Parts: sequence; C-alpha cells; structure tokens
Amino acid sequence: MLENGKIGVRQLTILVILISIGDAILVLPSIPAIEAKQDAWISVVIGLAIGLPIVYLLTIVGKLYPGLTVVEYNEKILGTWLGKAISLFFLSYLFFSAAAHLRESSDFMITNIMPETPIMAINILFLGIIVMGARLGLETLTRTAEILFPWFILLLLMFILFLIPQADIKNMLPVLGEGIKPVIRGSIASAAFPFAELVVFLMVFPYVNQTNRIRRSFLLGALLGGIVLIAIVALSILVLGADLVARNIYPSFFMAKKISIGNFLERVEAILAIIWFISIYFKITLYYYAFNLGLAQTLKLREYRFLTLPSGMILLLLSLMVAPNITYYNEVISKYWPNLDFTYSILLPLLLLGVYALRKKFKRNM
Amino acid sequence: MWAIAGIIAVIIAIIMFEAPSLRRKQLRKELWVFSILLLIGFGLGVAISLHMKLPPALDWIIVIYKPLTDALIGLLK
Amino acid sequence: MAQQIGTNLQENLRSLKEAVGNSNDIIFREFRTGDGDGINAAMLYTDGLVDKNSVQDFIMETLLIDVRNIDMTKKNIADILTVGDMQQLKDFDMLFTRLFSGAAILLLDGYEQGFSIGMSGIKDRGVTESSGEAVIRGPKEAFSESILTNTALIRRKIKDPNLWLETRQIGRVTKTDVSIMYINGIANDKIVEEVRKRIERIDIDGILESGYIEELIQDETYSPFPTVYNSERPDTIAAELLEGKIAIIVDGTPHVLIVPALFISFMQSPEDYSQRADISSLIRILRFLGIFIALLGPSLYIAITTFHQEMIPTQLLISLAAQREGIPFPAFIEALMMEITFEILREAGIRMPRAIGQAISIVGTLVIGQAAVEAGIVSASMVIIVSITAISSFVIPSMNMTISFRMVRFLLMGLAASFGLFGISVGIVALVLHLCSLRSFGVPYMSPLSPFILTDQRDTLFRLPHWAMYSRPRLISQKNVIRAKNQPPKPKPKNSERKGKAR
Repeated sequence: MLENGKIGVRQLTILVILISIGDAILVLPSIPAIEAKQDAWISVVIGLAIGLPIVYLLTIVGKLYPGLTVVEYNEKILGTWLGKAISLFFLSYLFFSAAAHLRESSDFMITNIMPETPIMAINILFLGIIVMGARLGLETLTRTAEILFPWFILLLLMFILFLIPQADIKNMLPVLGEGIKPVIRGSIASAAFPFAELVVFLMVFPYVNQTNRIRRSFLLGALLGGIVLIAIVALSILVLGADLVARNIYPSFFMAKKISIGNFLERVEAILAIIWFISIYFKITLYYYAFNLGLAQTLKLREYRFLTLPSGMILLLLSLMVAPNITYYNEVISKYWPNLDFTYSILLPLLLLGVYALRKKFKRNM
Repeated sequence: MWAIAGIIAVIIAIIMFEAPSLRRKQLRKELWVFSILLLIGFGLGVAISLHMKLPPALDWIIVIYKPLTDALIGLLK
Repeated sequence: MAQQIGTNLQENLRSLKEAVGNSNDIIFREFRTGDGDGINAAMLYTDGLVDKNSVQDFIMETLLIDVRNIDMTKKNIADILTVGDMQQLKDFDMLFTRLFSGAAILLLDGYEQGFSIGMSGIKDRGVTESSGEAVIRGPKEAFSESILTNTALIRRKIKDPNLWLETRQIGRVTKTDVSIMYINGIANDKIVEEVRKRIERIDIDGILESGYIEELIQDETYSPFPTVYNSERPDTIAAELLEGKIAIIVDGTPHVLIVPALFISFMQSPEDYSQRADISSLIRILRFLGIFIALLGPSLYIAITTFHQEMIPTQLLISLAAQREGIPFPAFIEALMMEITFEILREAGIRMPRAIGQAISIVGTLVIGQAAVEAGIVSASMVIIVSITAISSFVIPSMNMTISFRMVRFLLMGLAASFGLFGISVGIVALVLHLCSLRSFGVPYMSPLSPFILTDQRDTLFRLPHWAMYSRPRLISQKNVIRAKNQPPKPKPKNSERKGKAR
C-alpha cells in the first residue's frame, strides 16, 4: 500500500478548517471588496452558501468507492484511458495550485516581512518543510495539524479581539447600498477559494477511519472555516473601511499592523504572520502530498515517497514561472482561477456521478 | 553558468539520496518515472537560469477560461 | 556447541583450569565425600563473588562432615545440601556464567551434570539516595547496581503475583543479566512480545550500561528525541508498570529503562503525584513554559532584534539599542558564543570535584558574564536571555529530553538568524512534524496530545486528583483500562446542617 496511515474524523475536521482558511484569510477580503465594497462580508456569506452544497457534492462522490482515492476510481468509472487522462489533468491542477500558492506566500513574506531576503531562499526553506511533510505521510501531517491547531485558534482569537476596539460600524453602512448584483459577483471567488479548493480531500477520504461520519465532519469543518472567514472579512471592513480593503492585496495583514494595546503591544504583525503561515503551509503541503500520492496511484507505482524530491524541484521552478509579478498574478487569480476550481470541484464530480449512474442503469438493464 | 552547476549538483544530490533504495528494492518502473521527473526539472531549471522567455504558466488559464468568465460577469452586471 | 560436562572429574577439572588460565581468584577445592573412600568431588568458586562463610558452612561442612556415613553414590545431592538455590548444569557455558555470577560449582566424579549453588556475596552499594532525581516529597531510595536488589525493590512496591520477571544474558563476552518486568494483564502483550524480540536480537560483545540496550532497541536511531525512558527510582518505575509499561533492568547499573516512552512521560516527575493536584498542575504548566523558554528564548531574541525591531516597545528598544551599540558581533554570534560558553561550563561542572564544582559554576557564569558585558563583547540582555534559557531547561525532569532540546535550540537559533520569525516558524513546524512521526514501540510518540484522546488528558498538561484518574493510558495498556472506581471525597456536613443530631 502506498499510504498506510489512518486519520480520525476529528482530525479531518481540523484539517478542513485549516485548509479552508488556507490562504483565503490573507488574500480573500480584497477580492469581494472590489466589487461589493462594504458588503464584502455578505459576499462571503453567499460564498459559504454556495460552497456548502459543493462540499456536500464532494462527499457524495467520495462515498461511491469509500476505499479509493479519486484518481483510482476515475479509472473504474470512466475506463482506463479516459480515467487516467482525467486523473492527470486533476493532478496537474493540484500541482499547479500548490506552485501558485507557494509563489503567493513567498511573495507575501518577502514584500511585507523580510524585504532584504532573496525570494529563492524563502522558497527553498518553505519547500523543505513541504517536502518533509509530504514524505512523512498523511497521518503525521494530520497529527502535526492537531498539535498546532490550538495555537492557531489562540492567535486568531487574539487577533480578532485586539482589533475589535478599532471597529467602526459606520464602515459597514449602508448595507446592500448598491444592490445585490455586485455582492454576487464578489461571491464567486469567496465560494471558490475556501470551499471549492477542498476538492483535494477526494484524495484523503479513503484514509479516514470512520467512513460514515466523513460527511458530517467535512461539512462541519467547512462551515467553521467559513465562519472564521466571514468574521475576518467583516472585521476588515469594520476596521479599515471598504476602500482600503479593496486597495490592499493583504488587508488582514494591514489590519494587524494597526493593533495597539496599552502602548506597548504594537506592530506585532509578524507574530500574526505565523497564523497565515500555518494555514497556508497545510494547504500547500496537502495539495503537494495529494499530487505525489495521486501520481503514484495513476502510474500504478508501489511507492510515492521517492517522487517528492524531484517533483519538489519542479514545484520550486514552476512557482517562479507562475507569474512575472504580483499584479498579473492577482488579476488572473481573482478573475479566472475560481472557474478552474469549479471545473474540478463541480464538473468532475458531476461527470463521475453521471457516468456512474448511467453505468449502473446499463448493468441493470442488461 | 553557476546556476546550471547548482542545478546539476542538486540533481546529483537527489539521485544519491533516493536511487540506492529504489535500486535495492528493484523498482524499475519507479526509477523510470523518477528519471523523467528529474529530466523535466533539469530542463526547467536550465530554461529559467538562462532567462529564456517562458510564458507565465497562468497564461494557459486565461486562454481556457476567458470566455466563460466574461460570460459569467456579463450575466451578473 | 558448548562443551558438555563429562563424567570424569579430572578431565573436567583440567578443561576448566585451561579455560580460566591461571586466574588465581578462582578457587578449586578437591575433596572426597561419602562413606568409605567416597567419591571424588570438587568445589569451584570465585573468591570475592561468593560468600565464603556460607560456602564453608552449608556446602563444605555438609559434604565433608555430615555425609561421612552415607553412601553418596545412592543419594541425590539435592536431598543432602542445605542450600536454597541449586541448579543443574549441563555445559561449560552455563557453568561459567553461574560461576561468575557468584555461584559455587560442585562437580562430582561419575555425574554427568554439575551443580551450581547460589552463594552470592557480591558487595553492593546498597539502597542509597537518588542523586540525579531528587524530590521533596516522596521516597528517596534509588536502585543500586545489583539486579537482584533492584527487582526486589520493585517487588516491594507491587505485591501482585502478576508482576512477571524474565531474565536473559545479553552480551557475548559480558553475559550481562538483563531482565524485563511487567504486570501481566495490564501490559499490552504485543508490546511485551516486541520487547522480548528486540532484546533477544541484540548481538554485541558487551553490555555495560542500560544506555547500550536503549540504543540497540529503540525505534528511531536518528532522532534526537528519546523514545525510551529511564529512572533511578523504584517508585517511578512502579508507577509506570501500573500504567502497563515494561521495565528493563540491567545488571550493573541503577538506571532502569521503561518502554514504551512518550513525549509526555519526560515531562512528568514522580513528585507530581505525591503533592496536591492543584500545585502539581500549576508546576506542570510551569514546566511547559520552561520548555518554550528553553527552546525559543535565544532564537526569539535574535529574530526580533535582527529582523523585526518594530515589535519591541520603544523604550525597551532604545535601551537595547544602547546596549548593543558597542558590541562588535551580530546578535547571532553573540548568542552562539554565550550558549557555547554555558555548555562548556555545564559539562565541566559535572566532573569538577564537588567542593569546587558549585562555586565555580555559579561564579563562572556570573563573573564571566559580567566581565564579558563590561568588556563589550556581549550585551547584558544577552547574558540574561542565555541564563534564563539555561535555567529553564533544568525544569524538565528528565535529562534525556533536556539534551535533545539543547541540540534543537542551536538549530532554531541558526534559522532565526537567517530568516527571522519565518525561520523560527519553519523550525517549529519541522520539529512538530518530526515529533509526530515518531513511535515508541508502536505507540505514537505525541499521544495523548495527538491523536487527541480525551480520557487520557487527565494526566498530561495538568494532573487531576487521584480519585478522578480512573483509567490507564488507552494506547499503552489496551486491556484492563479501568484503574479504580473512586468517589470524590464528600465533605462532612457542617454542624448547622446536621439537623440536631448529636455527635
């Protein structure tokens, strides 16, 4: 077996929360704010409303073949060649996603926290623990998440609490001032980044030990992650005002700079950068791990660990190639990436379910 | 020049790290995949270090999804 | 193939004398026993290992005097000798093992076996106070170097017949006695079997300390973190046995191993259980705080002063900047120098004669620190950080773990110096990843923190009162999980509530 580990449902929920928060906690608030302005938080609520059914869809697909990952049952449902082709597309999506996120987070670190450090060094360091996490396997990764999770929540709560004194309800008014359409425009990204990108869990479901409780834990995790994001976006608007949130690439980081407690706890944004570091790390590592595992399963290899080093190298190089600069990156990501997400989180499951249902019908008719 | 040497050094290091255990366990197919991946990595690395003009990878996304996105946004305007 | 003991006494004696060369601490005493001419017999023992008086009283006297009128060829030796521990020997290997364990060997002409008679008079240090693991409240006795004394000390604490003991001789040349002890019914049979297998697999010429065994049976040879716990105290060992763990006792050392060992075990001190629950919980939390300081102290200082100066409150920043004005070295080099100096002092302090030792360590650190500050080599704040770090690391009860943290600390310092807080975060994630990947004899190292087992939380970060701790750690014992059924103590009703009943 390629992966012998087993994880529990509680660990699954923790992973889902971390992954749905992922990088969205950093980059999400500005995207709906551009369209919906002060109603950006409503966009995220709508995003959650759209996202939960998507998540539900994922669990239905997951239950078709409870012991297999998506690349494995792709072949069972669609036939060997078509299945393998679709799997390769899926895997390239995962890989690409990981590379893009890596680039995004290294960019953030460099421009905001350590401007004098060369980006290659940060990338290599980050890549080091990503590869380490992927090699050690799902079980170790989840246990690490379990241990780091309380600290993550603690820092997050502190972050929110310290900013509440600076919140100004006037920033949120008028509610729905421009009508509902801009809000819906903004909700596309809000549904994609936290929730549609949970499609990676189709590679994780077989390794959860209580199959019948997966749906509940998964939905719970997505819901909790969504609530955190709604809170963060709402807080950004309350503290900074819609204009600043729309203009800043990383509004929550900008907010962190404004924290000031008793005149001595100031400019502590670097500590809060650790929060996003944790959630982004798990997202990238899970994607990368899923890619390696999936590749090994599609090519019917007996091990996946040895793939991590060469593909790590490619990941590094690809992350440099992803975009020439951050503006380009943001443009493309905010406009076009959600559709890529939906292709794999809505289209693929529907395709699989459709063909599966058709096949069953044929078998019954025979 | 140095970059290419660096890339080769990294590739050699990776080979030294992983190849012995693969060869010991007689995993032939795996060794093939391993080599192919390394080759891709080498190619990419050389391309980047020579500052060749490569299209940013996100270009593909734009090409494929532009019509859809434009339609969707148009719907919601 | 070990050489068998033949029936001819003279031949046996010749082979034996050849084997031991001319070692003159091995006494050969030939005599005749029985009526008439009697049969030839010989007694062998190692001078210094046997209790000579017992040999003379119980064996020599019986065989020379008491059986003078009995036909020895018809009698069973076992029915004659008034000794307790007697075993039959078939070959020379067994003979030598027993001979050097303090037995007297009896060989008789015409018998195909020899007899080993336990007469051990080995001088033992006796039960003394534990030097490395001191407590304020709790028993002070510690193990000694003799394996029988040690197993006896454990038996005194656990008087249950289910406490089983199995002994092997490990080490081709030293043939050291290594025993495992466990409570049958509480300990997990699979783990016991695994321990047995691993010990029997050991192939080395000598075992001189339990540390050798530790290295040879532990799961992860490359990790700096210990997966085998050790202690000098019988009460600690007994408590671990009650939880379903297995003790490995090695002759010649007071340090007994406990297996499987989890991360949490290294943070627990036996005193936690003797003191009250609330104090123990607070002190445990203090210990975890100590770990954080010990691990992250210098790294955080380096990271913040080098990369993230904006985080320091302005007044402190000014005074720090003033201090670091005249210092020629960057923060990392400063920290490195001080840490290494401290490590040297610490290591040297272990070997200094006790009278001077204390004085020099304290004086050394303070004076050197003070002098270094005044010379402008290091800043005062660095001295403070390094001292607090060093002292915090002693809060951890177990030496093994302290050493691991010392090593990891330097790595984190390096990461902090190059990449600031980002480097520290990377280091911590890597550390947690590594810790979570460890297993001790199949049990995940970081349980019960992860996988999070709610029922085991009663004794990890804090300690609930004894009446509330009613189950054993789930992953280790796996049978017999309920420990006791206690009622929380109910206070006696106050006088005003007694409804007029007379006392």
